[in-house]
Amino acid sequence: MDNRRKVILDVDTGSDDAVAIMAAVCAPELEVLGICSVAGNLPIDNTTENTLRVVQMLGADVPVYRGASGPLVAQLNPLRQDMAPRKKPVFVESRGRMVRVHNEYLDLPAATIKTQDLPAAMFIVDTVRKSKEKVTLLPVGPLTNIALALKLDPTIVNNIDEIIIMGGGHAVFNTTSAAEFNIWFDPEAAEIVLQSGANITLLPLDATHAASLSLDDAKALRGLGTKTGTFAAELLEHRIEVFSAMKQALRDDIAPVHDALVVCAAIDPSVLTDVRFMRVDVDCGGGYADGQTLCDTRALPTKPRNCHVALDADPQKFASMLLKYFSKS
Amino acid sequence: MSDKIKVILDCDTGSDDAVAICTALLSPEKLDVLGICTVNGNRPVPNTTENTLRVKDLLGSDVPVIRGCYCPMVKSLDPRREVLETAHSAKGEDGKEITYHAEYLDCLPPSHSKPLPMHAVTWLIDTLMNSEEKITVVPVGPLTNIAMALRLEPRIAEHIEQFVIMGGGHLERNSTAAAEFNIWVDPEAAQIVFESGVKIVLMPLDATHRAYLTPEDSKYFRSLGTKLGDFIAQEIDDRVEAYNLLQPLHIPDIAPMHDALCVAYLLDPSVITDIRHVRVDVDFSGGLCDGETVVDTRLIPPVKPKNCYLCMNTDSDKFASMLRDILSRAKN
Repeated sequence: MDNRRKVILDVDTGSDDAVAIMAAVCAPELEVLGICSVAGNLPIDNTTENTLRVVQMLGADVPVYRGASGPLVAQLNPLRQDMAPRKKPVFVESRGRMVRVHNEYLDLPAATIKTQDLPAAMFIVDTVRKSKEKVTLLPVGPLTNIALALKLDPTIVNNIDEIIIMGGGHAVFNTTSAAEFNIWFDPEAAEIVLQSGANITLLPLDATHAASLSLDDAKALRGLGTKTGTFAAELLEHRIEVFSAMKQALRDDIAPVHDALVVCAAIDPSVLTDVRFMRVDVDCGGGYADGQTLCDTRALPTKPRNCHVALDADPQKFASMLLKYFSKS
Repeated sequence: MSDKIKVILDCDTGSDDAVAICTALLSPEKLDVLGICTVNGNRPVPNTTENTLRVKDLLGSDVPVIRGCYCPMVKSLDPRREVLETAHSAKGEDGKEITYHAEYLDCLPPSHSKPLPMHAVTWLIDTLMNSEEKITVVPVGPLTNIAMALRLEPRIAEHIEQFVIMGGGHLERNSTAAAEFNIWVDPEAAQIVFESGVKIVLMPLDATHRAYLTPEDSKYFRSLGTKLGDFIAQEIDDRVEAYNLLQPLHIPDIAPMHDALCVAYLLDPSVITDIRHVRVDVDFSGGLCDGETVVDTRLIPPVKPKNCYLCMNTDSDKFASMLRDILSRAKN
């Protein structure tokens, strides 16, 4: 019997998403049932094309589904995100030019493979309903597709093994002083997922920054001499340059590769080193705290606990897992 | 010119407010308390005013007490913004109400002194605008009076040396998962104060949960044989019981004296062991994080200028020994 863990990836590719896709497809412990794209880091046309480029480069037989083109409701009020207080700029100057974390297109050949017909949320509903084994969802972008699927058919929760989310922050934030990008981009979707009753593990910035990779790791990845290793090294070096220019990491020679940590946690949860069961809700108020993952740290929370929150992670284990997966091709 | 610090207190008395007032009034060598304004908060303003007068009478002080605002600036216009709060009280085993702040400070006799016949906001503006020296303002309740004064007469900002505020929480909260009580009661008022441009030293729960007295201190105060000693001992005992039942903290059997930390800081800033210059804004959107003090901890260059000295830790032993020392000065 195939004892690989059945997973669906949901991505807004995205530089760290690309590393996550490569790891999920290459890891022998996972069976990737499909990859859904969503708007987030970049518009949906870009995240879908970038996802196809990565799958094509891998030569993998994994279907790609185009997902939601924007958040459920957060952009209906034009002031809510455009004018968001304390929002950090997307571009920053480095070595005499303007750079950003996620370039519009990944530096890979244009995709000739195509997406499937089915919209991503419907693929999720269909696949989870029909699967004989429970399915694990790995959303590493805004949670729009997952929320749509859970609203279309709330009973899929019964056949979901776990939802491992890259998103949010407890004491570490990026897009605003209160919020991490994925959750901030679609707060209502995130709250729908957190209230769904599913078994949820959240990897906020606290964990993904703790597992930051370094220029030395990039060198090791390049040293593998494989396509995946070389591409992961390029992406990591770019991230380190941008994070350093933005003064967003604790050191100039490291950067988090957020999304790939979700894939590694799905294979070996011990890559996460401080996981606490807490009540987490998302602020959807549209004010200073919009999109905050509010972790109730009080001794007596007012609502039942609903989420395993990772606050720390092991960068050595993370790096060695990626090196293993990228060593073959 | 005197080298005493000129101080205005703004309180919602309140058990820990009472301890703060006593600590300030019993430190005349360092503090010149010009007046105590009262505000709606722990209890409605008639109660917080009466309680403040009771404490003043206990100490035989002639400090002016001035009654302030009855309700938040705008928050109570929307009744939905109140529903997320955690319980304030519970019934103990014998059916008695266990709470942080009794309706009245029962162990003190009803007051015989009176508040000044004017509003606290008017008095604040008059006092600040007519003072030649800058004045330190110490709000330890909701910031309604202060924000109202800033809106009525923005020039008072130039007459304020600094605000030393008890309120908010960075990683520790109480009234909701996101918010501390004082800020949660009147979030808009708090944001007005944070945008005032005046220097702000903020004592959030992260610091005040480490500014506590214990049953040992209670025994000490009771042994003094003074009315004040008995009063402080009773407040410690009641707060220990309330915290153990309603809001267990990192150490059992402690009575945080949040508001008194502001006064202790003025007397000896070294009571605070971790202070950070940051940007703080208050969420007032009415959502889950309503009333949260949002601290910008990001490493990126600040999008808005830093506006607050955030106190994150306290020397608990120093705090307790300061209070033991100061509060045992009362003859009565």
